[in-house]
Amino acid sequence: MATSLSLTEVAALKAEISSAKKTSMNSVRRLLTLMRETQRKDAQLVSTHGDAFLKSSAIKPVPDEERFLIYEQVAIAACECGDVEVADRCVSRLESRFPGSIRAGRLRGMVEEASGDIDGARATYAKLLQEHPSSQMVLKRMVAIERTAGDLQSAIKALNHFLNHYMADADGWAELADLYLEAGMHKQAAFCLEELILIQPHTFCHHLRLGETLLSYATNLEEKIVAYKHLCTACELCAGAHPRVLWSLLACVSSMASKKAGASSSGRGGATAAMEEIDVNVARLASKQLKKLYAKADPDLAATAQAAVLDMLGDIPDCLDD
Amino acid sequence: MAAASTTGASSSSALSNSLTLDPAIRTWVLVPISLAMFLIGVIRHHASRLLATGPRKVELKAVRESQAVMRASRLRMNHAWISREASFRMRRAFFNDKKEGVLQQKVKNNNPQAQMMSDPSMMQDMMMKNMSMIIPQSLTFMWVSFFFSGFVMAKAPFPLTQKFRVMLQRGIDISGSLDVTYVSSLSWYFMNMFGMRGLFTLTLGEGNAIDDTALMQQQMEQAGAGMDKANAFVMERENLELIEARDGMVYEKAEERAAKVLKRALRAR
Repeated sequence: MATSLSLTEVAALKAEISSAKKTSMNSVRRLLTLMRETQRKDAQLVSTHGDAFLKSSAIKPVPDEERFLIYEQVAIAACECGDVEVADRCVSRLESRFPGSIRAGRLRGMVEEASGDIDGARATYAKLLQEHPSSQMVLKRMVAIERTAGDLQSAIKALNHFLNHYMADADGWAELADLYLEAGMHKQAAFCLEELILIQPHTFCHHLRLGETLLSYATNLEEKIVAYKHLCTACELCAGAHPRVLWSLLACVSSMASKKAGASSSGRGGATAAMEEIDVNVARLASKQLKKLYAKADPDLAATAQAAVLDMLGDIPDCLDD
Repeated sequence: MAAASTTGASSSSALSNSLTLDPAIRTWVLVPISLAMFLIGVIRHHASRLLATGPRKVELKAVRESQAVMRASRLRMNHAWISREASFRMRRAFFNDKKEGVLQQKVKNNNPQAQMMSDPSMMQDMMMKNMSMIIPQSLTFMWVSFFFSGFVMAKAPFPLTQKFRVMLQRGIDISGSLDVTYVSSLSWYFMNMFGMRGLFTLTLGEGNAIDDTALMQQQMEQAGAGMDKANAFVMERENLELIEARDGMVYEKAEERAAKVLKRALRAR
């Protein structure tokens, strides 16, 4: 409850700050605090107003701890939206206050990244790693920097190095799955997604993405069934409330049906016959649920969605809701 | 001294309710003790900041070992969510393989004590921390008991039971006859010592918030360093060995459950 309350407050403050001509520094400070707590992001807003706040006289009474947190927050936001000058100013302050701090060093690297000096940033991070070889923050930056440079293979290599040591890090596995999918290496991506499921077994997104990934490289019915089971689990975990889960489920059923004809002719009919009943059932329910969701959220799209479902399940008329 | 401070306490406990305290005691005893304690707290805070060494360096290998234990225990707990038997076997081999397995590797057994013997800087750190706690505290205690012992210096505005006598009237000898609500100077010192934490968090902030991620990371590593890795390795290895790999335990009836959930969602308005 507390988080949803502070989220509404964030929204209110954002509206107030971006609409008013002369913003009150108190609400800027409150907004920055709330955004740090709820981990919301709005780089441009934080960068401009945070910088103004740091320059104004309102920063004087702020205690040291909070002030330097604000410096860091504004520096990161400024890096994200390319205000290199602002970021540089903030980081310089932090560096002079915390000489030799690894956290400030990483920010310096991020400023260099933002200004386009990839090689300089790489050197900065390498130097930090020499002193603190196990710094999680810097190791993650090493991955990010390769991704920024567009070098997918190096990014994968750097992330593998990271995960070889920090092997219980969920975000790392999620990022690696993304990278592998981008590189078209679906099997490896599936491994990462399985790892994510081991870490957070009740998160439906992981099951959804694993199901989709498995489906996209499945060549035989067995593999498709595995994908299908994961999609069913995703559907169960999200209580059928997410259209993407339902669409994927339908796509999977339709793909299974198109293979099924081939499979039963090659004599694997026994296992599939048992499945058939349920497939049809789940698919029919899923298409019904989709229809309901669209009717509720966007009636204009409902007809298009219905046509798409028809197109998908045209081969298996039993699935269609009559 | 006690006699001078308890003016009017000549008669028995019947009169003790009307005991008046000299206002000079408030200005020269009560306030100075509190003030001194507060200032010493502030000085100690800044001193400990100066003395604090940076975050301890953690070797990558140590990170890998503690994270491997974590990952292995997750595999043990959640293996039923992996749909394919092969995936599970592959992971178990990663941990348990006779030659290459992560959990088969030798670990430097670093229980905290052995680590301390080998790393004098750790011992020094701890000594520093303890010293910066103990020295000021014993000094103030001596100071208070030497100069201010025997004062009755405050009165609690509410009635108290006899049990509080030990707590509130330490260091004065007229105990039996004095009302419990009167507080002696030594007790006031103790109350200040334990009660000032809230004031410090208000004025000095919570710890040093500025490098708290480093602190957190350090704590995480220490949690890893604290456990006996060699033992943990053997235990996780055996636990994984005991698991019977099967295809998709969770997934046997996945479609039926999905259908049930969908039906429920359709029924809901």
